[in-house]
Amino acid sequence: MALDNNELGASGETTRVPSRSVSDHELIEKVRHGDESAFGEIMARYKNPITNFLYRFLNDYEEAVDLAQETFVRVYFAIDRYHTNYAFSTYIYRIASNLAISELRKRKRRSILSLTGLFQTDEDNAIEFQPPDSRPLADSDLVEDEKSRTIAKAIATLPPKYRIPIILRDVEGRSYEDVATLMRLGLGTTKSRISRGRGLLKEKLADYMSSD
Amino acid sequence: MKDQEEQISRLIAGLRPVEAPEGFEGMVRTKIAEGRRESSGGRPLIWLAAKFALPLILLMLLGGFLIVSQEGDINAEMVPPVGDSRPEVAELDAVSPPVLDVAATNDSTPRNAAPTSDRNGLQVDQPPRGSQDIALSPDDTTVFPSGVDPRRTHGTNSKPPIGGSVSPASVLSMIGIVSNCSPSGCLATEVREGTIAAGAGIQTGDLITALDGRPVTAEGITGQFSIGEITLVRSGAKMTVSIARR
Repeated sequence: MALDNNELGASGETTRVPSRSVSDHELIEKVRHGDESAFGEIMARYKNPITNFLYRFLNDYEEAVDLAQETFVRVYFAIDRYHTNYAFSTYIYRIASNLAISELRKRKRRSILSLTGLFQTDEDNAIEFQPPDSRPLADSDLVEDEKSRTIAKAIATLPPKYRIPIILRDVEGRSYEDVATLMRLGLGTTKSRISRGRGLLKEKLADYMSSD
Repeated sequence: MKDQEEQISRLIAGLRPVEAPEGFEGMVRTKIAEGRRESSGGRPLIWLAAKFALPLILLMLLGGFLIVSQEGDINAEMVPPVGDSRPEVAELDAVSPPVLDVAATNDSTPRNAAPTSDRNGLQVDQPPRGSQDIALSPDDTTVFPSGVDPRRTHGTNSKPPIGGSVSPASVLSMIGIVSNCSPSGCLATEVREGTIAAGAGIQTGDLITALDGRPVTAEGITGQFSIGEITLVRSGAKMTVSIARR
């Protein structure tokens, strides 16, 4: 079943970080020596993948952007503590994951506090973010939007221990090894979780599977 | 099974990726700058003052105000020395209102249910249970909030005990008015003959609204005050009656 990166991004769009002439580690070193433009380059490389990752995790665009910005702030202030033993991408995704999990916990606390139902959970009101498009929608676009919303909502309802590896693997196109390193899990456990997560999604996306 | 997983994987991968909004990097740099200011303690001095000093000053002012206002309410003025040189009863009557001293209202203290007579022959009702001990000084109709007999102070700086209040009915009773008090005032239901109130012209049916400028309500009166004049409403007309001295 092993999906390699080339199979991802069926729509032709991908959020994977493109390879650059200057490596991430070289940029980090420049930032450590006070080169602010190098940090700008890091942001340019990772702002879209991190925002997309957080958006798929939280299913809330505004929150995803806030946490993506917070991720870069944390990277900046902890840049001296970063060790090049790990790939930088693993490092930054781990920070983003931790922030996302913290946000989920906050949401859970808020939903517990909202005993009267004054505050509905975000999952209940989740709306798929779509970039503005002034063109009139064709029927096929409407169907596609509904499908996207359903898939996004299904992902957002997965338990975090399945949600993170699924997003990293199937949305971000990270390798199993990367996902295992990022989650500090064994390769077997990581594959098992991804498989289990897909199994949970299968039940929720049965309608779209029959048509694919 | 694997085919189904691959279908799921393709469905997820087909989601349109979202991108960071315009101005994303600028926002990050702004947050970094804010973080630098916080970590270096570089917040403006005025911000620190607003956060720490101003609330502290306000708290101190509030505390000082409360202490001063409490002192002002309960602090009895020093009573002039009377001691051995105090006038005889007849002489006293000619000079000042009678001294009324109501026994302490203490649950452990036996109380006389019947009205007591002072040495001037004026009947004084016992104040209601729970009311404050009160006394009138010999020189005016000053009411002390606590169980202080001004005759025993001998001019010392002793202060009455702090706390408690006097019911308006008790005060009015001391000058010969039997009344029913409500939030709008005390209605005189009887004015005893030969008392200060009768001498001042207070009549049954008068609604007493203030004692020496202090509004009279059903609630207690705190602090020391003098009954120099009584404000009342009679037949719809508001008037002030002076009862200061004979």
